Amino acid sequence: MLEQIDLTMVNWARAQFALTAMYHWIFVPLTLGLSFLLAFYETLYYRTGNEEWKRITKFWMGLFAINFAIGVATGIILEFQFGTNWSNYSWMVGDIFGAPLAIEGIFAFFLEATFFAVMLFGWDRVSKKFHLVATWMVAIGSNLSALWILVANGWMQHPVGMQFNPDLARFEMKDIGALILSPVAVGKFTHVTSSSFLLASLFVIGISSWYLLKGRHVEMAKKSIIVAAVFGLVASALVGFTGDESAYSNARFQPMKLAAFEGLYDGETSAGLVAMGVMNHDKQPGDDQDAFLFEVKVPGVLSLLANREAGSFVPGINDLLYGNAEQGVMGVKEKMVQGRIAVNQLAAYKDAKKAGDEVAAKAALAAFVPHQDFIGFGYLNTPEEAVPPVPLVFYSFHIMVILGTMLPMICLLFLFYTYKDTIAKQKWLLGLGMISMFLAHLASQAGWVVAEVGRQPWAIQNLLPVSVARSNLTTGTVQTTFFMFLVLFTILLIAEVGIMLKQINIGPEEN
Amino acid sequence: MTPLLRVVHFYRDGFRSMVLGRTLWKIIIIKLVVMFGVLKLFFFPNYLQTNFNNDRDRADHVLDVISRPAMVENESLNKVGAGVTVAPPAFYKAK
Repeated sequence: MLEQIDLTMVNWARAQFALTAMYHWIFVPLTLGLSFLLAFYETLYYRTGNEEWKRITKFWMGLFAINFAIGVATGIILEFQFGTNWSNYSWMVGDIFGAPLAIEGIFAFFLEATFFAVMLFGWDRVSKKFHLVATWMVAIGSNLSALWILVANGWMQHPVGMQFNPDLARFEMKDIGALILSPVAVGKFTHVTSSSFLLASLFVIGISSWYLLKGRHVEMAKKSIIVAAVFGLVASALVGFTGDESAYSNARFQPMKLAAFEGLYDGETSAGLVAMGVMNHDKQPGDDQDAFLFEVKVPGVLSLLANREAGSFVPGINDLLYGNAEQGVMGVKEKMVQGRIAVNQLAAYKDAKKAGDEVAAKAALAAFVPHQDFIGFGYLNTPEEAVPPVPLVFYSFHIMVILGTMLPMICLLFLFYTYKDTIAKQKWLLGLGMISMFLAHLASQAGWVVAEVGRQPWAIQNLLPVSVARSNLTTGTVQTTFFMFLVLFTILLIAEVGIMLKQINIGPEEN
Repeated sequence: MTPLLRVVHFYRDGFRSMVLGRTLWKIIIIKLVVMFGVLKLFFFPNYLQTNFNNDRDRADHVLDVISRPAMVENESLNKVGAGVTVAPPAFYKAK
């Protein structure tokens, strides 16, 4: 029966989800970071009484509102897709995701209905202090709202705090604390928010650079840059620290992802970190070809990042697929055996329950439990299915890291020249500042490609592959909605860019 | 003026004084109508809600899907777990 299902549907559903998520992610990081910058600008106005800071706050608040309005509710489409394209997954995780998503919904509702309105409408209508509180609440609330989504995502990467219910085919929450404090969820939240702060800082720097190049709103641009550059630098330090934590988590919970984003096929002791390289696209797991056509490696650093020990062993894709007894690495081949036992015992449990044979059901359940952590491997056809698309993950990771290293330097240069009061003369830097807005988005999107493509084939790590998580729909159905979204998102993006550019061109006076 | 009325006036005056905001509200409303009135209604039915009558049937359907292992060329691997105390699943019988 499984053979009769058109397997290409799953790839269309994945593409549709990726398209929607990537579109949604154009707006979210800017909301997360810009909200804090608004709070900083307004705090400066509150403390100094300088009207220029108020003018600056109101200008960036206008762009924040445009971004918010175009981006709002695009995330809901992801939830539509869960119910339609990913119904098995949706059913299985309903109990886990219910609480975090409900909390997120309540947060978003109260935030948008109260503090957001006060922030936008409340100038000169509420006290300065209350307005400032509202702006801070929007910043804190937006970021807390993101926490719950990222907790849910963290659970998919490292499922903890739950128990599988074989009667209802559901994962049920047992420990919400474990869910929230999971190292993957904490790492994801801190890395995502700090990188969003950096992105928003570069957005402010980029637009301010344009004003300086045009010789317009020079004072506003300089003041905006100082705050954004400092915020960007602080955020960059957090991005580096949390990125390191993410790599450490990957080594422990998703070693295949780590091996893929480093293009590491054969495990190594004192493994080196590839600083840059060109992959050999013909390379397949288990063959003798070199993984790289060209590479620059920093010795020992990957072992240090992965295990906090420079001389330690980091398993490669081949070790993880075929096993490495010497290093105590269990291969996918062995996990497939375990997984099949789990799936078959689950089937036996289901049949026994249907037949009313409680003794047989109890025996099947007892046989199922020791193998249940491997159940996802029972749905794989070959061990190689457990390998994500290595070149895509490798290049995305390296784009993210290279840009993540370069962008803080841009913040530092802007801070230096603004402090020296020669920033308006640095045309090259202003040009770079404008480009950096787009580079920050590229780095942010690349980060999500690493996180999500890197964990393929899993919808839930080791438990549910995407091929089983999906609904039994025809490929044509998903293709139709994919192209509908493509058209809708393109129109909305054009609208946003158009309104944003118009508002930037008008500047703060007419805001 | 009662506190409730003050809140109502706050929002009403806020919306009235918007310049750019009016365009943004139009975009938001059009977007929500397209999303919920067209996409959700006609293109994104909830698969399990539409095809099954109650939660028991939905659970049975999902359980049915997840209790089918992949079939591979390696016959010995396909038989793993089937030789224990319980009968092999219907999927194997069909093969």
